[in-house]
Amino acid sequence: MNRLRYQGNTLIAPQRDERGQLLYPYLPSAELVEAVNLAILLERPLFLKGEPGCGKTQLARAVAYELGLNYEAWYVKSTSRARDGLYTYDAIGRLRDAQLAASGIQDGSTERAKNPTAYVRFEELGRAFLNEKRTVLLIDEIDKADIDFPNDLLRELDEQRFKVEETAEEYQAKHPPIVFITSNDEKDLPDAFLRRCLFHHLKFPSRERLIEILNVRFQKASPEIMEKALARFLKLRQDMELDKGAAGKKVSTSELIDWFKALSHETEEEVLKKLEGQLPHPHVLLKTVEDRDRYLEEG
Amino acid sequence: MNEMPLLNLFTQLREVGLLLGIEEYEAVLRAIDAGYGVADQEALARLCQMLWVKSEDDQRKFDYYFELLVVPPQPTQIVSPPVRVPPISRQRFPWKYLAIGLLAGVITVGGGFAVKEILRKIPTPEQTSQPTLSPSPTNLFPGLINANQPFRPLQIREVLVVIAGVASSAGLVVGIVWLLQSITDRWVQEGQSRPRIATKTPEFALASESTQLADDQPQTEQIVLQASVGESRINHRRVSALDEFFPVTRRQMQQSWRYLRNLTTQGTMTEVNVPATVNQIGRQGIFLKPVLVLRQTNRTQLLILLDQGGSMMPFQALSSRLVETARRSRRLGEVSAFHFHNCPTDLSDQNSAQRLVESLDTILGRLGSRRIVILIFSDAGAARGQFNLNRIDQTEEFLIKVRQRVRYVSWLNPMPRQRWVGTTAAEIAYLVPMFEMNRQGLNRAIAVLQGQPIASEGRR
Repeated sequence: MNRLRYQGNTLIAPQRDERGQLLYPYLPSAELVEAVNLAILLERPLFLKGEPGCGKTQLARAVAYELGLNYEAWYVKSTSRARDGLYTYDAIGRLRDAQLAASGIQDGSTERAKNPTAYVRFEELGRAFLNEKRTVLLIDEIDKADIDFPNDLLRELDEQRFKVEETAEEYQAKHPPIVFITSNDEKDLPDAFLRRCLFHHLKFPSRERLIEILNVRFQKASPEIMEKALARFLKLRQDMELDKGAAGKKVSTSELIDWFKALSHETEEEVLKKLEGQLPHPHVLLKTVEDRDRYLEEG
Repeated sequence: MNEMPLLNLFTQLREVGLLLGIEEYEAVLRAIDAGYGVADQEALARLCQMLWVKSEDDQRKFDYYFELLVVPPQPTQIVSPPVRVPPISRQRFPWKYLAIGLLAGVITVGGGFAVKEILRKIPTPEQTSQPTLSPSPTNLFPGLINANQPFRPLQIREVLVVIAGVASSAGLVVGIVWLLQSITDRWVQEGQSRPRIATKTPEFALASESTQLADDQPQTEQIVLQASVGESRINHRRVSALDEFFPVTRRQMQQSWRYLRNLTTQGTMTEVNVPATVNQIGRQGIFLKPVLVLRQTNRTQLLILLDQGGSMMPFQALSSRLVETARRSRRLGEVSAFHFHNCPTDLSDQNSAQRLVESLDTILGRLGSRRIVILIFSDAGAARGQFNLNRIDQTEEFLIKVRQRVRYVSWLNPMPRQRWVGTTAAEIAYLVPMFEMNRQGLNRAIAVLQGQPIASEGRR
């Protein structure tokens, strides 16, 4: 099981996964591939940080697809509690069934109500533990939840098992899931939690890699347009870097893809003409009034 | 044990405050065993970073100690197995040079004779002929150039040429001897090389294999022992090694803010109160509908008033951290911060560009809630050791006014308690609960804002 090895190059063209969702090729850096394989080997969660839109969330699905594993995504909300990821217990449903049974209606509710485990519904993390197939689990934006949230997950992730309080049943993971955790760095995470994770910071891709990324997504686009558009994009990013520093919001890879998609709907001559003048489709790249004022005028 | 740069690095990083346990060390060893981080030093650094480094601050420390402890490439301390595997190929190196040296010797001897021949015919051509004849020896075998050097002064040429010839043939002989020696060395080594490499690398074989081999148990224990011996030192040093401003770290502030809450229910009824529902069924005999309750939220409105400028200059970073951590703590309903100078009468908004001066009444009016609490952060004259009656009066007046609108006020003082004595601060500490800015003080100040009756630290 440990011999699973992620290469990062299986998918070369967009494809639909078994759920029918379109899956685009993911081009990881060599370091990222190493980090993923290390996480698989050591059975520790891989904690991914990086600016928004750099592909943190996409990685897990790409890994699951390449390794042919099951995929579960747990999108953390500000109200999420650690238990929500493991299971939910339908206490009301059981009560309803008990009432129905008491009132003498025979529709199977009597049997159901006697069996407390019937009301346990496993959620993403719980399903990842109990799946017959090894699972890639994404815990997305863990920093959105409460400050204690990551610590509450420690035991489950460490020991790979959990207990359903309502039925007092313990479940042991069949296969250790490959866990990816992403964070937008909105909140600091507890040390005890960080200690157990592998840490990887996703960097903005190099120019060559950006070209590769565009190439796999837009296979029909002409190299000239791609070259020019990318030059324009990188110039904008460079300007933003100079103005805002490392911490500011800069145009990201995902925005580049959206922008290029917008461009690719027009004819070649139109695009080339537009790229010479004012920044085309600014609403894809510039998200604040200040950005608009500053970078649109310059173009 | 001193030959274990990785363990040294690990222990050192622990001492400077990285939160690492033995498991993290073992994880690196396991990864090395599986072939990660062994290609070169960079790969090793990447591996260790992935497992040990969790923040930018950690990264700086890691870079420094990695450079210090691991990078010096001493053959016995080389870290990763593949770097260690090529020692044989590394020993091959001198042979190559020796071969070149031999070639150079031959060329030089040949060159010497050629020079001799030329010198017989032309009076002083050797300065031009020499460089053309021995360009490769100059680069490849410096020892021979020195032998050639005395050519230049133009003395008894014949003798020098002979000396050059002799020197180069001596070089040749030495070269042959070296060659023979290294060949025999290699023969001997090849017989022993594998066990030797293994004995040199116990630290890597060790923990990675310790999971499988019971024989290695003692060594693992040793590591654990050594690391835990270090523990007692670590706790003392960690404090000074943190580059965060010491009295209260960011994380501690966040933890403290969590205690400041005034939970109330608001919004739509979304949560089912299961015990209450069951109780209701018990009373009514039939389940009619679940008992829904409102979700609890924290409605505390925190108003932080920060003294700025003058004697408070050194504490600017601390005060902005105080505000930042409070704002980042999602448990607090609303956090606003205002600045003042010396006495909290004229307040200015930290964020507004105009630095609009507002009176407290307008601010409180705008917040318009009865759950406001105020935390004041100021040295109250303790930093300069002043006693200012006017300031006391103004502050008292301010506090009286505030208390008509706000339930709880507490004061944090960045100066140590001992320094309050005899200053305005000591007097103000009688008017309002005042605490020293440290973890305990912050917790107490927050407890006061929660409504607990705690007296100022300054009082005796």
